[in-house]
This record gives sequence, C-alpha cells and structure tokens, in this order.
Amino acid sequence: MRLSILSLTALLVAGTLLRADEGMWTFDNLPLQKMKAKYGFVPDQAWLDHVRLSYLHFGGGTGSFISADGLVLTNHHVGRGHIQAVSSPEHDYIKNGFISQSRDQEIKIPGLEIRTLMATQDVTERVNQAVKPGMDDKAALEARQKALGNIQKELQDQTGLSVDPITLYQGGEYWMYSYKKHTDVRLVMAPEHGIAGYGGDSDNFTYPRFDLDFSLFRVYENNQPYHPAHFLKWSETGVKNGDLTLVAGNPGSTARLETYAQMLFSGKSALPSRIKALERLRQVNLAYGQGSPEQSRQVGTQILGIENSLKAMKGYLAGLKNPEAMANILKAEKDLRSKVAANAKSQAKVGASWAAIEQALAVQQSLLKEAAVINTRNSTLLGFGLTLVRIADESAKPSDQRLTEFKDANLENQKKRLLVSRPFYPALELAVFTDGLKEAQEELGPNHLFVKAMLGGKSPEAVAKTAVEGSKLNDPAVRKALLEGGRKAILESQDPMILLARKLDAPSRLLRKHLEAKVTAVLTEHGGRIALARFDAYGKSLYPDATLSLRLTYGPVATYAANGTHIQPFTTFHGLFDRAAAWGPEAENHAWALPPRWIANKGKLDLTTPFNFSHAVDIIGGNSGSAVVDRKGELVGLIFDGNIESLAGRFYYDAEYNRAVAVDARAILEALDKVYDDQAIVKEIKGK
Amino acid sequence: MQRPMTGLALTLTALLGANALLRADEGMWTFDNLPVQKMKAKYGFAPDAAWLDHVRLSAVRFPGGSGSFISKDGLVLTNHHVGHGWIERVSDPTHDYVQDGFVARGHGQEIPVPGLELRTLMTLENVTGALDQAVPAGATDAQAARARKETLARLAQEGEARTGLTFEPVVLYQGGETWLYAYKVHKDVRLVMAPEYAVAAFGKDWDNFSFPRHDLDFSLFRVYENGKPYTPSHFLRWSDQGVKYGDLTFMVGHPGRTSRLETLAQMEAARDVLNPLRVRSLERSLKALHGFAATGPEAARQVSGALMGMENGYKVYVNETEGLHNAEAMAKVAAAEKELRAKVAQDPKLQASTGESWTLIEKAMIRRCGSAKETAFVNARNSQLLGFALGVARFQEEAAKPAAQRGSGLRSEADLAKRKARLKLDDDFNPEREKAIFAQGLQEALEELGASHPFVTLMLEGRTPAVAAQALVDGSRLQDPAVRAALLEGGPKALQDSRDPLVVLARKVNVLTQAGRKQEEEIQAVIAEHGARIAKARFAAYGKANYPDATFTLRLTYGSIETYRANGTLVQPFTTFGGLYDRADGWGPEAEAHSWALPARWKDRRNAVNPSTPYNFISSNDIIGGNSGSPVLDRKGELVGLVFDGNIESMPSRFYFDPRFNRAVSVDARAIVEALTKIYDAPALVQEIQSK
Repeated sequence: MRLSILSLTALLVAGTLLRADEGMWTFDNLPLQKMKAKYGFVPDQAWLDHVRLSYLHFGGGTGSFISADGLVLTNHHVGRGHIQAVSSPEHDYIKNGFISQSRDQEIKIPGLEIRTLMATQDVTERVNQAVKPGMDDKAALEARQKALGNIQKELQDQTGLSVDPITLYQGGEYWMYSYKKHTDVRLVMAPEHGIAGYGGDSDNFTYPRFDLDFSLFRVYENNQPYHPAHFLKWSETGVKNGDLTLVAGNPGSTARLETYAQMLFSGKSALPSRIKALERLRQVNLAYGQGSPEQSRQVGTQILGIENSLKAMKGYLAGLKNPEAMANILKAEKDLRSKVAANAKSQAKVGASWAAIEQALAVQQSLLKEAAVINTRNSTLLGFGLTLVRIADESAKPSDQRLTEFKDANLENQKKRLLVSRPFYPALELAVFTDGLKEAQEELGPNHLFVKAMLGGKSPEAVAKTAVEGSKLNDPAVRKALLEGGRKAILESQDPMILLARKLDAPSRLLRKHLEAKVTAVLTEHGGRIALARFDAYGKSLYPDATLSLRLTYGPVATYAANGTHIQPFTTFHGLFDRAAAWGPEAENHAWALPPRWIANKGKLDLTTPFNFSHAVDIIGGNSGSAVVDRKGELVGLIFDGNIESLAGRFYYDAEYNRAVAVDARAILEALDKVYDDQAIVKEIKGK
Repeated sequence: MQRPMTGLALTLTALLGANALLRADEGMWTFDNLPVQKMKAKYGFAPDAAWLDHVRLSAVRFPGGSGSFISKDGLVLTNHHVGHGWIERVSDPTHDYVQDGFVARGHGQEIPVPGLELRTLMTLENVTGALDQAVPAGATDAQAARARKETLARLAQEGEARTGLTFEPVVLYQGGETWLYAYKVHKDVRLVMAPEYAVAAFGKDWDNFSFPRHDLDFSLFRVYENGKPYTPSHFLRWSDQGVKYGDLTFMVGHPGRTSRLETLAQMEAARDVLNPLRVRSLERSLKALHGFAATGPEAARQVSGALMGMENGYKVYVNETEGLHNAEAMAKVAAAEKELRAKVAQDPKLQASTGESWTLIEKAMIRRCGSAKETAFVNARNSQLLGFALGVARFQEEAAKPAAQRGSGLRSEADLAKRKARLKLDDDFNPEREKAIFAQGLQEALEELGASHPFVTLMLEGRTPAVAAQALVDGSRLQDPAVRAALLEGGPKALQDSRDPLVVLARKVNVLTQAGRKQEEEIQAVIAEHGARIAKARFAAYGKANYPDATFTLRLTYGSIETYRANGTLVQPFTTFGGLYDRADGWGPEAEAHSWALPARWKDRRNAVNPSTPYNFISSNDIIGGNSGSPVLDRKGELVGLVFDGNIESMPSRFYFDPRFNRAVSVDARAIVEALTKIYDAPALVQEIQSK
C-alpha cells in the first residue's frame, strides 16, 4: 500500500511545482485561492494583522503573546539558553524547572530581546536602481548592500523601530522588516528539562513524541507588565485529526530555490565538513561535562544544541541522497532553464547564471577548510576581543564602508551585546579553545599563515592557557573600558585575547573579502537573476526560501506512513508513561526518566489528555516556539519539532512524509494545573 | 546497555559477514545441533538435554503455526491469529466469537473445533545414512533417488506400525540431511478462550509487522483424549517474574520457510520475476476480497480470516522483495556464495560433484521465470469448484498410471488416499463469494495472459470474466456436496462422463497444463539434486556450524530483549497497557475503518487495569512465519511471552538475517494474566496457568 502511494507522488511531483500544503508564505503573498479551495477558509486582513502582532521573533526562534499582561509562550528549547543563564549551581532551573509564585518572583533575563513585526516594506526597486549598468558582480553586491544600509538607517531614524533588511527569493526581492523591540523580558515558568526534552537526543526529530517543550516569559515595560495590542486566545476545544492548523513563525533557513549544483555542493562538501567539525565540538563538550555534575550542568545547553544540529544535518544529508527527490529537483531546474533558453532576452540575462554559480562553488570548495576554521575557535573571550578590535577600526570609517554588522543601523546592538553579563566558565573556555586551535592546526597544517599567527610556534594548549588565564575580557567592566577607550585603548591593551584578536583580524577579513567577491556576490547576483526568471516563468506562485522572518504555513493534523504502519496523529499522557515504563529510568543515560514531580502527580492527571500531535505544515528550525492556531486564530498547540522525515525539508518538501510536531495546548494546561499547580497562570492563560 | 549501532559497528558487521556465516543470535536450530559454545560464551548458559526434552514435549504444532501446553490439563496457548480460522469456523452469524471474543466458563462450555489437529514431536531420527546405504553401487541418479524414496517410505511405515505415531520425512539443508520426525497427533481440540479480534490484532493490517505494538494476540485451546482433558507428559510453567530489558529469551516453534541457503540465482529470480508477479496478483485478489467484504456485514465476517491472511502475505511479499533490493545485504549473500564456490573449486572431488551445480540451478531458474506467468495464471483462478474439479482430474490422471510413473507423493496407495481426502471441500461454500473471486481471477488471467491465450479463450468463450464466472458457477452442480462426492468416488468414468461445465473445463485445462507441469517437475528435480550437492559441499567446507533453512519443523532460537534504531530514534523494548490506550486515544475509534477502536469491555475496564503492565516486547530471536504462537522462555524454561510477529525490518529474513534491525515481537506473559484477571474475569484460567 505504501508502494502505491509512493508511485502516485512521483507522478504528481513531475507535473506541478507545489504540492499539498507546501509553503512558508510571506504575509503579502498567501495562496488564498488554494486555501479557499481546499479548506473553505481564507484569513482576512484583520486575522493576519492580529496574528502578526501577536507573534514574536524570539532569538533564533519564535514566540507569541498569550495574555493581556504580556505573557509570552515559546519552547523550552528556545528559552533554554536564557533559563540556563539565570540558573546557578544552587538554583538549577534547567534540571528542576521554575515556577514563579508571583510576578515579583519573575526573573529578568540579561540581554534577552524579543521583537514584534510592526511593518514590512518592499524596497526591491530602490535597491536595484543602485546597480548601474556595467558593474561587475562584486560592485553590484556592494552597491546593493550600501543601498540596503541607507534605507535601513533612514527607516530606523524615521520610526524608532529596529529594521532588518530581508532578501527574498535569493535576491529576487528586497524588503525592510520593522520591529518593536522588547528588552525587559522575565522568566515566568519552565518545566524540568527532563520532561521538556523527554527522550533526549534519541527522540529528537522523531514522532510519536512526548515532549512538554514549552516555557513562559513576560514582557515588561517601565517595570510593569506590558499590555500588547494583540495576543492569542487559548482555544477551549483544541484540535482533532484532520483539522486545519495555521502556523506563523520565523523559519530560519531553507535552500529549496538553490540550484542543483548548490545542493550537490551541500551534500558533497558543506554538510560533511560541518558535521565533522560539530562531532569534534561535541566530543570536547561531552568530555568536559563528564568532569563533574556541575560541569555537566554548565554544558547542557551547548551539547543539546550541537546534537540537535548534528541530527538535523544528517537528516539534510539523507534528504540529498534520495534519488527520486533529487531527480525531481533536477527536472524542475531543466524545465526552468529550457524556458529561459526559449526566450532570447532571458537567455542573455540568465542563461549563464547556473554556470556562474558553479564556478563560485568551485571557489568555495577551494576555501572550505579556511572558511571553517579561520574564526574565533569556539572562544567566547576571543569573540569579545574580535568585536572590540573591529568596533575600534570600523567606527573610524563612514557607515557605508564598514562591515555590515558595524554599520550605523547595527552598531549600537553590537555594543549593547558586548556589555551583557552572562555566566562564564574558564575551564570550559580553556577546553573548547584548546581544541579549536588544535583543530585549526590539524585541518590547515602547522605552516598555514593563520595557524602560525595564532600559535606563534607554541602548542595549542600553551596558547589557549596563556590567553584564557591571562585575559580579563570576561569582566563586562573591562570590556566597557576598552569599548569606550576606542582605538587607542585597543592598541595599548596587553590583554592576551585582544592580542590574539588582532592576529585573527587580518586573515579573517582577507578570507571574508575574498569569499564575498568570488562567492557571495556571484550567488546573490545570479541567484537573483534566476529568481526573476522564475517569476517570469511561473508568476509569483512560489514562496521564498526561509529567512528567519515572519511566514505563515497551514495544513491539517495528519498521520503519515512510517515504521511499517501509519503513525498516530496524537500522543497522550498515557503514552508518556508508557514510554517511561518501557525503558525504565536508567536506559540510555536516563533519557526516558521522568522528573520526580511527574511521578508524584501521575495519579492526578487525566491520562487521555492529548500531549503532542503531528500536522502537515511546512516548517523548519526557527519555527520553534511558533503557536499553532485554528481558523479562529485561537491557540491549539505549540510547534517544537519536525519528524525525522521533515529534515529533507531544507531542500524540498515531501507532502507525504514531512510533518511538524507540536505540543498540544491541552497538555500545557493539564500540566500547569495538575503537575505544577500553577493556578494563577492557568487563569491568566484562560483569560478568566 | 545496548548502544545504538555506530558507523564502526556497521563496518565491523559487514566485515564479519563476509567471513563468518553466522552473526549475533542468528539461527533456527534443530534440537540435535545447537550452537552450545556460542550460547555459553555470550550468555553463560546453554540448555541441557532435560531442558530440551521438556520444551520439545511441551511444544505443539498447529496447522500453519505453533503452540504449547501450559497446564497439566492440556491447556494450549497459541496466537489468536493462528486460531483465527478455527474460531471463525465455530462461529456463526449469531455467535461471532471472532468479533466478540469467547470465554468458556468451565470445561463444559469449551467448544470442540472440528478438523483441528495438533501435533507433539515425540522422536526424531536422522536416516540420511540409512538412505545412502540403500543405494546400490553403480546406480544411476534416477535409480538412487528411487532407492532412497522407497527406503524412506518403508522406514516411516515401519515406524508408524511400531509406535502408533505419525511419521513425517524432513529434508534439511536443501537435501543435505533427511530425518524422520514422529508426532503424536491430538484430534480432539476445543476452544477455551479468545479475546476480541480488535484487541488481538489491534491496529489491524496497518500495525501488522510493526513495533511499538499493542496486540493481545493469544488464544487458548484444550486437548482432550477420550472425552477428558488430556494430561501431557510435559507443560510449560508460567514465569512469576517475567523478563526485563537485556534478558536472554528462547523460542521453540515451527518456522515455516526460509530461503537463506538458496543460491544467488534463486534469490534474484524471486526479486526480479517471481515475487513481483506474486505481489501484483495479491493486490488484485485483495481488491476482490475487499470488494466482496464491502457487500455486507455477513460477507465481511465470512472473509475476515481470509482477508487477514492475504493482507499479511501481501505485506510480507512487498517487504521481503524490498529486502532483496538491499544492495549491501545482497553483496554479502553474493560474497558468501563466491567463497563457497572458491572452496569447491580448490577440491577436485567437490568440484566434480558440485562445480556445475550453481550454473545448473541458475538455468533451471531461468526456465522457471520464463514460464512463471503460465504457472501463476493457468489454474483454478481462485474458484473452489474449478479447483475441486481440477484436483479430481489430476488425481485420476495420476491414479491411472503405474505407481512408478506417478508424480512425487502419489506413489503408494496410502498417498493416494491422503490426496483424495484433501480434495474434500469445506462446508462453508458461498456461491456469491465464489463468483466474486472467480471473476477477479479470470479478469487477472485476461490481463496477464492476453485475450488470445488458449486458456483465456477456453475459459471466457468471448464472455466478460464476470459473465463467465457467473454462468460457470450457476451452471455447475458441484455446489452440491453429494455431486462432488459422486465425482470423487466415481473413478475415471464419472470424470469422463460428467457434463458439468466446470468438469468439462477442468479436463481441458488439465491437458493444457501438462507440458508446464512436466517442465516444473524437471526444474524441481534439478534444484533438489543440486541444492543437496551444494549443501554437502557446505558441510565439507564449514562443518555443521550452520542451521538448515526453515522446514515447518521444531526449532530453537535464542536472543535477548534488545532495542533497534528506527523512525529516527531507539525503539522502546516494551510497550505497556498505557501505550495501548495512548494509541487508541491517539487515533480515536473512527480512524481507518476502526483500526484502533477498542472493544467495549476494554473501554469499560480501562481504569481496572494497571497501565504500567508490560504488553508486548521485542527480542533478537531469529523467527519467521510458522513460529507464530511459539512460547518465549527464559533460561529456566518458564514461559515469559508468546511470539506473534516480527518488525517490518524482519521481512527480508526469508533470505538473510540482519542482527541490527531484525526483531521478533511477543505478547508479554504478564499482559495475558492482567487481561484474563481484569478484563475477562477468568480467575480459573489464571489459576490453571499459574499452578506449577
């Protein structure tokens, strides 16, 4: 039966570009007719505004306002780094969870900023006008970057909002997204990591699943709870199998509109090289964590993040090895190229673009190792050092000649970030930096200029030890003094990390310049040309690749075929306890052990309550923390993951097997009520 | 703790695979040839003779499956799906024990199951040497084969006369060894308890061959002798504590058929021609049967067992064929064959006897593939009546020949009588069902063979398949058991004189298939002869370190409760009652035609059961279809579970065993007790199975 479904898909794929509910749509270009035809539902402007203004950009993920008093819902794994930042050996909120008994117990998170998308503006025309005839790819890239910087600054000055330039369709469109920033964000509630990340790395990216992956924060303004203009209402009914779900959020990065050659490059070079480096970093962190329970606590978030990336990248790779899917991609590219070739004007402009991109990839290939290791080598302190060195240098230049991240529109952010105080663990820093230097030595060889500059003839161990032990950059006051002292202070500083940063600066700039000229410029220019050719051929019926900016995706609660059967659309609390009993608390380093609160309160729970569900929406990393809403715009769930089959979604969407995994909203309420006994929050969420 | 397989482990396995023939806990071992040293090395335990005798004499063979005695009063445990057809047979439209389940309250309520025979393996004897000695010096191949056959028949006859047991010849190692297995046959078997089909096969065909799983796939029968519960010499004790993750498990049962010692050419023929043909055909038959079931609830009831079996077969064929496309695994099979051939080539004597055997088998397979469509579609086309008529025609044709010229298995008078007995039709004949599946069978022949094929023109005579099927069934008097009996008993004359349209057709079809049958006999002879030569070469090369392919005879397999990697994670080794309710709630009762709907009793009693009671588990035992109903034993020989399935990854195990992913799926013994106690209110049965 599975076979026949497969062959049907293959047939459908060949003919159409978009299948089923594929698409991470920008709010200006929703496939309204398709939605209406399939679900008899079209969100109107008020619906869209309400959703947009309720959702939040939350670091590398997504969140949403869920109460009139600025309560924010996101995933535990999105909030995890911040929860860890306010934890200590005595108060391990990761392990034990956190429940604020009242508002004055809510814990302010240093440096956490979350953002509401207030306005979007298409500036494609103005950006493209900056490119003059006769400019080469590099000059064109610079001209566009300059124009984008100027518009960004203008808008920021005009509105007081924080403005991000967004490149859509690989350069087919340029937009300005304006955000309201919330800078006073406090931790309200976090479940134990043992239940939020139930099943550990083994269960990550899988389904059926049992993760209560949520956390609650609150936005404050002037020391008072903030009252957002819009927030999502909690659904009283919840969803059932087959129901339409809609998900707004900030999908981070996809590569579906990349050329076939780019995908091959990812499969052959980029991903394997990244996986190798991450495996190495994982080992270093694991070894450090084995030192003591406290060390293990310190690296918990890092290890989780690394393992998450590793599993994701291996999934991307597996997707690229699917011959049927890749044949479809190649076929679509051939189709577009033949349409281009059929039109003399298109052919003149775009005909050579695919070849140009292949040449750029050859350059990228030749610099693969350098690009992977010429950087701050996992060192937080060297990161501070490099930023300080560069702010000093770049501030002296006019804004439009600076590196992008130091242009006027971004400079203040850089400075602010530098002054945030976060926990710092010297022994961890020493371990990862030592290995980072070793890696550079092994990958580039001892005679490489970068390696020679960093090591100066000494061993990685010696260099790292001197720098970590001798540096004072972990003190925000020292960083502040260097920042305010400007170029002179930097040049006079004998801090070993500043000295290393100055050695790193030149080779790093050189490499970056070379890559921008020979790779980024070409990919931008020709990616943009191909995008325009695609518009010509198919209209704007396509959505752009993900750009960590607001998108809408929709689809039903749905099963899929896997593991020899059909996967159940929902899991329940029963299933959680089933998995816990089946493995026992010791298996695989306690991966399926329940936190004590959960064992103690099991008897109070209604075990039939839905826990997680799978649905056919098109998401990817960055969508984490996205609220799932029904057609009324009410909250029914919280996205936290995709199934293992969804990882290929970086390159293509497979409607048959790609599923998002969400926490059911009913599970959150049931747990808050029965396990955490947090009645104030239950009441606030219910709006009663 | 079992760590997930890493890349290293994979390569290591691959390396080992090329050299060593056996990996991990692979093997369906005969009781005379257990890998005792391997077991001791890995588990610090190997069963002794008393242990083996005890479990052998506790085990029973069901038609198509396995079972075991679990009380001193002859109570027998097997799977529900092994008993399904028998439970269906004692059901009727007003007592649907398949749907509603059945619990006998006292011996008096136990229902005799007509036709059901169970067997216990009492003795087994290797007669290979005796057969070889019977071959006179200088005999030709044909004379040698004849001498062996006659000796085997004589030994069996003598044995039966001496012991009153039923003797079966068993050919092991593709002909490398021949044995006589002697069974005690139990003919009075009664149904004691069956859970509802919906909970025995929870998740229906979707969840079949998958894990995590939630099937209470058991049923209970009782053997009677002289109207009293039978007292077996041995029965299995129910374990008090059950198993846990990592524990050693044994299974004793009757694996039906594997093809692991077949040649690469045989596997490739299955992959490229024979299996795809079978899959296509099963797809059509399934469609027809589903179509008939959709005509009404009573129709659905009648074919529920047949449908289940066919869906099961379909899933097996699809997935084992996929396994044959696994390049890595097939490369190992090819490497092993290459290694053996190299060893044969180095030994002049072996080279003389076996050097050509692989090529000859390959040629035979090419012939078989060439006529595969004829073999598959020129036959009774799923019609029971035409099948009966063809059977009679074949029987008369053979009976008319001198004994020596008859086909295999028809030479003695006793053989003839057995064949005749087998031609008798079940009483549950339903003309509407007959027409539906016959029409589909004819349609298939039309599509596969073409309208101008002699068989098709003969059957259809220009009519559509549906019209032809209706006319033939309606026009035939074979529906009447008396008419069938008269034809069967009336000898060649009755057959020749019959004007019944199906009998007339059968006579013609029988002529049509003569050449094909002759060819198939030739092919089989080549495969038997050269399969045996290869087996002997393998003994010469590796000793008897290998186990024979499955032959639906008693085997022992061992392994441990062990996870595997699937679906992006590590699969949990157990499921629990909580998981059953999770899956039921996760789907809701309506989804996929009620595939995960629980019976009323299970909904009503959900708060009575302990949700953390283990329900199903996986282990690394090497099993295949036929093992269904085998008891799972711990090292004390006590019953800890009941195997009922394999995971989806185990499907290719007809051809090779992959220790990384191949797992058997069992009902935990504790689940049976929990359900009997809390759901079925059957304390007497619980007491009986728990008494020592």
